[in-house]
Amino acid sequence: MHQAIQIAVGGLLQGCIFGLLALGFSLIYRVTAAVNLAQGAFCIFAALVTSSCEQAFGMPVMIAGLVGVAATAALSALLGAAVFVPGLARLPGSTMFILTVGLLTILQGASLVVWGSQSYTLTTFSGERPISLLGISIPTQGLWLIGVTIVITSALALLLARTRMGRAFRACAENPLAANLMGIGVRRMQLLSFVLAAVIGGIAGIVIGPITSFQFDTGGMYTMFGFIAAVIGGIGSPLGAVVGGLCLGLATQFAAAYMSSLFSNALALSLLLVILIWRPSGIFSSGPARRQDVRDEPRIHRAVIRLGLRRGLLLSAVAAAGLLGALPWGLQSGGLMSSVVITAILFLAVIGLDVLMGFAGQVSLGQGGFMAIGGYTASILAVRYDVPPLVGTLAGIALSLVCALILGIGAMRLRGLYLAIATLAFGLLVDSLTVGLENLTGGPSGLVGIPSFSLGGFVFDTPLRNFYLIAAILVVILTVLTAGMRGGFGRALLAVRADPLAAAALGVDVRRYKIGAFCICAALGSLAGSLYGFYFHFLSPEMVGTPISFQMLAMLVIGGEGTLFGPLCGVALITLLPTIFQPLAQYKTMGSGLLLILCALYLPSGIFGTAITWLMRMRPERGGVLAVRRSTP
Amino acid sequence: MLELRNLSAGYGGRPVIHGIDLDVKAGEIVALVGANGAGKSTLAKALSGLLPCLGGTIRFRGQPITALSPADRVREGLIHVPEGRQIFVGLTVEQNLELGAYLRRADASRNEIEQGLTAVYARFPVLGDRATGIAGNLSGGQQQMLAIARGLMARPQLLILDEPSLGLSPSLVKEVFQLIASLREQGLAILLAEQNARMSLAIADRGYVIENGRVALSGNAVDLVASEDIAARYLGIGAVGHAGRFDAAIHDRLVAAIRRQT
Ligand SMILES: Nc1ncnc2c1ncn2[C@@H]1O[C@H](COP(=O)(O)OP(=O)(O)OP(=O)(O)O)[C@@H](O)[C@H]1O
Ligand SMILES: [Mg+2]
Repeated sequence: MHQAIQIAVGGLLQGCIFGLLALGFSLIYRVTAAVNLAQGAFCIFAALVTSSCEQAFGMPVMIAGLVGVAATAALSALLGAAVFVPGLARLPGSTMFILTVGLLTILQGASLVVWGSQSYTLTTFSGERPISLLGISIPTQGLWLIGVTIVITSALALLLARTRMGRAFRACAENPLAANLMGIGVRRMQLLSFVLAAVIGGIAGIVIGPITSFQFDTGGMYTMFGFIAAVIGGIGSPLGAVVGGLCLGLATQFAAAYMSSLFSNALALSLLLVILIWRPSGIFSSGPARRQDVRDEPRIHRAVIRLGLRRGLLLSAVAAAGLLGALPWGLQSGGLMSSVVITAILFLAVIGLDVLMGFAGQVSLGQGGFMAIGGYTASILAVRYDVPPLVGTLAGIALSLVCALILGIGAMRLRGLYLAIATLAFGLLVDSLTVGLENLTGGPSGLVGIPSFSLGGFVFDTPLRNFYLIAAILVVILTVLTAGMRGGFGRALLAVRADPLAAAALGVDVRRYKIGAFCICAALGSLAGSLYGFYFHFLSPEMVGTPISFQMLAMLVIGGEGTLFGPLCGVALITLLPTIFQPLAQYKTMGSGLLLILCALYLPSGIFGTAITWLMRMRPERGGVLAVRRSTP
Repeated sequence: MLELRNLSAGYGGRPVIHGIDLDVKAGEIVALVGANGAGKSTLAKALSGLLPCLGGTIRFRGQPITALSPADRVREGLIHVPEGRQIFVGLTVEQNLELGAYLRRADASRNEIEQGLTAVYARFPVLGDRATGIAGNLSGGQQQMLAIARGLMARPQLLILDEPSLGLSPSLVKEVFQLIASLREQGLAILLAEQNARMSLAIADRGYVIENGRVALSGNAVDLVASEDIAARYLGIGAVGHAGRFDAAIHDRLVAAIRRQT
């Protein structure tokens, strides 16, 4: 009993952490109906600044914390005014999501450059000695944490429910156009909510700082748990955020104590998936469901580029020839050849994402999870049971398809960004399983001794052979997909993307097409994962984890959504450039974040799409062959 | 009260309305008539500041307001009730109305707002009955009432109504037009953009006919109704009648096609 209470206290503290992290998500969603995935990065930024002030200038932690919060406010005001608010005005919801992934990436990259990759902690606010209450010990920082959570939550709840500004916030989310006509400065409110959320996040980061250590990329983790807590509680409501946080905290702590700490995350994520399907608007929903589908419609402005069939064949031939042309150059240095193979494998996975996002308009944050399923299934079968690689690969694809179907059927009936949330949870779940099932997957240190891919006795054991294998697969898949996307399937997907309601009214079975696209996405991810394992002879969780999912999103948007070939530009840019210019490696994260933001804001059809559009402008007489369709309503 | 001189506005830097000159005097109803896509809503949005002006000036009550934000224009008493209702569907009827008085909340007392609400409920009893209901559950016509009522909550000097009769049944349309006429009695100036040209010209003092983003014709409402050209094009009555209207459309398209060819 005593032990259970002690665990409950631990869960309560953990829950306060999650709740504090979730508050920012709820606030921003309440005002803008967008999810800001950079939220966690602001927490870490504030904590890092505080830590520097403490160490470099010897400030007491409270003063340093104030500096940290002020710096966070300034930074968020800058980023909000330059990126987030302009994005809201012109991007559809799914691209906004990706824009904030860009913000997260750039903040993490910048933190890496400034603060390096070591981990930091802050000093506790009032001494290290825990307080003992009825035999239960509570660290003093825990009391701070609980106090801060209560104060911020009630203040925010009061602000939203009782004040004029709260009502204006609500109006902005409901209908920005009408809010503008009522004389509410919508952009100002959006910026205000962004900064306020960052400040809350900053305070959270500083209060949590003494309890857990943090480093440049901890923000991603904070983002995920905060987001998950917000969704469990019902995004948009401050009380819901805290309740969601507490549920999550208690669940993980009890799971860690009574089952295994490795599975505590898995349990939390399963909880999220169950809640998503059972009660999509969360435990506390903030008013009636928002009609995201309708809101998005006028903001779809992306050019969708469709290539003629023959032209598509030609282009895939050109792409293949281009890759082959790079070979002799790559042969001189093994490292580069290897990067080219990695590029080709990742390209395969990103093509899958493109079908889902560029054509069906759904966001998946779990492509890494499918790579993991494909990779681990094929590798484990090959290493432990001597199953031929081809069979293992197919088994991986089959397993991925099953997961995609379950996830898709559960999430597709929900609107808006629920597939994104569900796939995020799925990806994290797979992450925790690959780490946790040590006997099977080798755990965090990875699975070794994976054989090379082989087909009927022919072993693809050199980078060059692997390259030919993957190039052949790419040519086949690109040809099939180009034909498919040009035909009825692609047209139906575009209709689904542009307006699901209208598409349904025209007789398109929206769910089937969305799930179909998701299955293609999952199968390609899985295939890429298997090839990854066979190529490296080694597979570890961070090679196919959630950060990779985010990276692939960036590659897709940079290359160009809805273009099939475009992602190659994005993948190559992010994979090859740091290899060619070694000193750049440190800036890789920041650079890809910056590129992602610039592309999302200014090149909605990516580098490839923009290039094609330019080429066509230069040769108007060819417009008939390479038809560009602007999906402006 | 409102003077537009040589006003141009549009989307993404490309003008849709060009060099519009238009006046609305105090206590006057001015009708804006034009085919689909003529630019009526664009003009309304430019007036309320939702769209930036690409050229020309807007003066309201003697002051230039071309550079003012939408909020400042609301503060001046220029209220735009947009096309397609645009109510806050997730909020209650009363919250919608209170948001209409958002800027007044800063200086007006709670009491004044209450008075405004009472006045609105007296005028629109349906809204009073459903004050605590979710606005999204109102019928289309009731939502239109709510949109107009929300505009009135801001104490407008000039009310810009964009398609107030859109999607309403004939009896409701009549009611809305009666309402508009009664608003003028209270000294409000009204700019009315409508597809229903006959009805709007019937209650208007003056009218402007917009074609392809330009003022094609303007004058007293009575004269406009009497003019054969308008009657044929927008009212579907007069010398040419229905068939003639159809022919006119085909003729226009042919001329345009021929022009493009040469
Ligand atoms: N958001 C927009 N972006 C680009 N062009 C637009 C936009 N909205 C309207 N237009 C274009 O501006 C022109 C004028 O549109 P507007 O909405 O002002 O017409 P309208 O006179 O109100 O027509 P209706 O009677 O159908 O409401 C149309 O050609 C339309 O295609
Ligand atoms: Mg209109």
